[in-house]
Amino acid sequence: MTQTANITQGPKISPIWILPFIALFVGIWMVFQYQNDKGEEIFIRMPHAEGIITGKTQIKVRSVNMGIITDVKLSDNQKYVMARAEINKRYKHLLTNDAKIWVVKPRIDQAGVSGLNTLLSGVYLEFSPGNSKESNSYFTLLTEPPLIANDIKGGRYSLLSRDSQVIEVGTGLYYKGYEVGQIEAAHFDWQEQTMSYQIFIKAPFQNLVTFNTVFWVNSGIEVDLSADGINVKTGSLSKLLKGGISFSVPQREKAGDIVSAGHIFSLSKNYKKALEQRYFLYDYFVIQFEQSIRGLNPGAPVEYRGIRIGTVVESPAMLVVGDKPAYFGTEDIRVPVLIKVEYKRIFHNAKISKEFWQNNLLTWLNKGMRASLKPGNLLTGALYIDLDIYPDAPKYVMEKIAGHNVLPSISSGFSVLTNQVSEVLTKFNKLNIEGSLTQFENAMVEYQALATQLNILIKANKTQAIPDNFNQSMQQVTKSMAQFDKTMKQFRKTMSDYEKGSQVYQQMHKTMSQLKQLTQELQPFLRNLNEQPDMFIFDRNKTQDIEPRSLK
Amino acid sequence: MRFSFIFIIIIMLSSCSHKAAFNNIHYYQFYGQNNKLSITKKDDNAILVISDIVLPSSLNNRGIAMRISKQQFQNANWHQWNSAPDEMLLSITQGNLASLETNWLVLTKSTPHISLIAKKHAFYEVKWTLTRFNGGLNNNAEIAGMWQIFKHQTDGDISIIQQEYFTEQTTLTKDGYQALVGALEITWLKINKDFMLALENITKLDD
Repeated sequence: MTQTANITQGPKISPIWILPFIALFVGIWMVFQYQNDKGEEIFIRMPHAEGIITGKTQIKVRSVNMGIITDVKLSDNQKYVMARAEINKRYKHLLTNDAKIWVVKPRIDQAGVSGLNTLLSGVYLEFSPGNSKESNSYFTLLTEPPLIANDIKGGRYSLLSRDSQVIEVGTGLYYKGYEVGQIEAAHFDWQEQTMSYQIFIKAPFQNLVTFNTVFWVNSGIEVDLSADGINVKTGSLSKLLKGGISFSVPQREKAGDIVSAGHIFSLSKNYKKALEQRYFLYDYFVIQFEQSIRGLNPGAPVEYRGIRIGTVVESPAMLVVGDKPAYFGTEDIRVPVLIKVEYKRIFHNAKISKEFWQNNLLTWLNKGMRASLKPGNLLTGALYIDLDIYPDAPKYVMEKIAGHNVLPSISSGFSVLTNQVSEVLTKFNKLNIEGSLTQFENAMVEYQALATQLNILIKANKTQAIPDNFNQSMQQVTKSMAQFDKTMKQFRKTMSDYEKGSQVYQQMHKTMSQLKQLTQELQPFLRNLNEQPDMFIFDRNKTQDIEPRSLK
Repeated sequence: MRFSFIFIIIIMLSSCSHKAAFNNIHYYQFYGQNNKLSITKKDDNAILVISDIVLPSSLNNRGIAMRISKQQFQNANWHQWNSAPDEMLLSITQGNLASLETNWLVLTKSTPHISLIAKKHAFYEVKWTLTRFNGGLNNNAEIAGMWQIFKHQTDGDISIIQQEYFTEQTTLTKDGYQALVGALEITWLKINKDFMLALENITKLDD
C-alpha cells in the first residue's frame, strides 16, 4: 500500500519574525523618545571647574532649575575648562546671545554675605536671560555675578575722571543722599590717563540725568581749607564708610533735557570742583602786584566787593616776554598773576554776562577799579584778589602782557595801612576842635537837665510802685514753686510703690524667693546630671552614702 | 540602618520604662517645737529679728553633709533635706526662740511691713553664720559657727552688741541618717537656747 504525501506550501515568512520587528519598533520608539525628551545642549567656558560636579551641579534661573551640567572636560590647550550642560526644552527660548551665567557660591562683599545656602547644597550656576532675540549655545562663565540683572530697567552712562581716586565697582550712586544706582565697571585708560566708569541708574531715576547734571565723588567727609576758610562736610555713616558718587543739577539751575543712555559725563573730585565745570566761558587777565604774593594760591577767589567773579589760575603767572620771565623782571619788578573772569559767576546767562563785562570794563577802570590782595584766612595766611573802586587811584593806562589784558592793581596790606593812617591824620588836622569843645559844653548842659528830669521821674509815685509789681511777680514765683513741690510729692508717692516693704517690692521678693527655691530643688538633680550625664538613659550609679554611725 | 534604628528605639523605651532611681531618695527635716503659741505685741515686748542664716554651699546643699576627713565633706545622694538648710533653720529658729516663752517678739526679715515696724521700734537683730552643720567623724552631729547681735535704733542707727563663736556636738544614739538629723536638731535647739540666755543678759545690762 502506497501512501501519498500531501505536500502543502507553508507561509513564506514565519510568524516568529514578528518578535524582532516588535523589538525593532520599540527600539526606534525609545530612541525617538530619548531624542524628543533630550534638552538643549549648551557649552560653558570657565577658567576652572571648582565645585562643579557632573550630573549634580544645576543651572538655575531665579532659583528654578533649568538644566544640569552633564560633562566637564579640560580644553586641549589646558587653558580653560569646557562644561557641557543640558537645558530643559521649555527654557530653550532663554538661551539668548546676551544671557549671563555665573557661579553662585558663598561670597562676602560690599553688598553683604550671599550664597550661604551653597555651603551645604554645593555650588550652582545662575543664569540670567538677556533681551536679545538671537539664540546662543556657547557661553562664558562670569567670574563675578553681574551687579545689575538684565531685566532691571534704567540707564547706563559713562563717567570720565582725571583726578579722582579709584572707586570700586559696586559703589553706590546717590541723588540727594538716596541711592539710585551703582558703578558697574571701572577701568583705567593708561594712554589717556583717565579712569572710566560705567554706571547704571535704576528707572525711573535715569530721568534725573540731564545735560547740566554734575557728578562728583562723595568721600563721606570733605575738608576744604582755602581762602574761604575751613569747610567740613560729612555724609551719612554708610557713605562715610563706603563713599560713593553723587550727582545733581547745580543749585539755582533748571534741569536741562534728559540725556539718552550712553552719555559721557565728567566726574569731579568734589562738589566744588563739579560746580566749577559750569564756568566754561571765561577770559584771562593778568594783574601785576607790587608786593609779595605769598599766600595767593591757584584756585583762590577773585571777588568784586565780596561777589566772586573769577579764580586765580597761576600765581605767579609763568609769562615769558621777550624770552625773559615776566615774573622775575629787572626793570618791572611787579609780579604777574593770571586770573580768569568766569562770566557765569556774574550772571547765569554767560553770554549776556560777557557782553556786560566787556562793555563796562573800561568805564569801571576809569572810575578807579583796582585789584588788591586781601587776607582770606588768617589761620592759613591764604590771600584772595579783591576788585574795588578807588576814586583816588592813579589814572588807568591800558596795558597788555603776553597777549593778556592787564587789570591795574593797588597795594594793600601795610602800604595801604600807611596811606589810611596818613589820611586819618590829615582829616584830624582839618578838625575844628574849638567848635567841638563849644558843642561839648552845650551837650553837658543838656545832660545836666536830663539828670534833673530823671531825678523827678524816680521820685514820682508811678516809679515808686515798681517794687509792688516786683513783689507780685515774686508771689507768682512762690506759687509756682509750691505747685512744683506738690508735683514732687506726688512723684515721691509714686516711687514709694517700689520702695522696700511696698506691695510691688514684696511681690518681687516673693518671686525671687520662689526662684531661689526652684534653684535649690534643682540642685541635687543638676549635681547628679553633672556626675552622670547619661542618667536619662541608664540607671544612676548606685553609690552608697556614708552611713552615720553611733557608738554602739 | 533600619535595624540599628529599631535597636536605639528599644533601648530608649526600656530606659524610660525603668524604675526611676529617685524613688530611693529619703527626705528629712527638723521636727520643730510644736507648741501652740500666741504672742501679742505689748509695749514692753522687745523685738528680735532673725537675719538670714548663712551656710557655705556644701552645707546648704540638699544632700545631708557628712564629714569624711578634717578637711572634707561629702553630700549624701539618697538622704536629702526636704528644703534648703538655711530656710529650714530660719523657720525652726523662729519657732524655737518663740517657744522659749520669753518676752520677745521674734520676727524674720520676710515679715510683712518689717521696714515700717523698724522705723517705729528699736529692735535687736541676730545673724547666724554656720561653718559646720553635718555628721562628724566621731559618731556625732556637729554644728559650729558664730552669731552676732546688732541693735537698730529708730533713727536708723545700727550698732553691734555682741559676737560669739560656738561649737556644739551631740553623739548619735542610733545608726543612720534619721538619728543624725535628730542629733542635729537637738544641737541646734541647744545653740538657740544658749543664744537666748546671752541675749537676755545683754538686754538686762543694756537696760
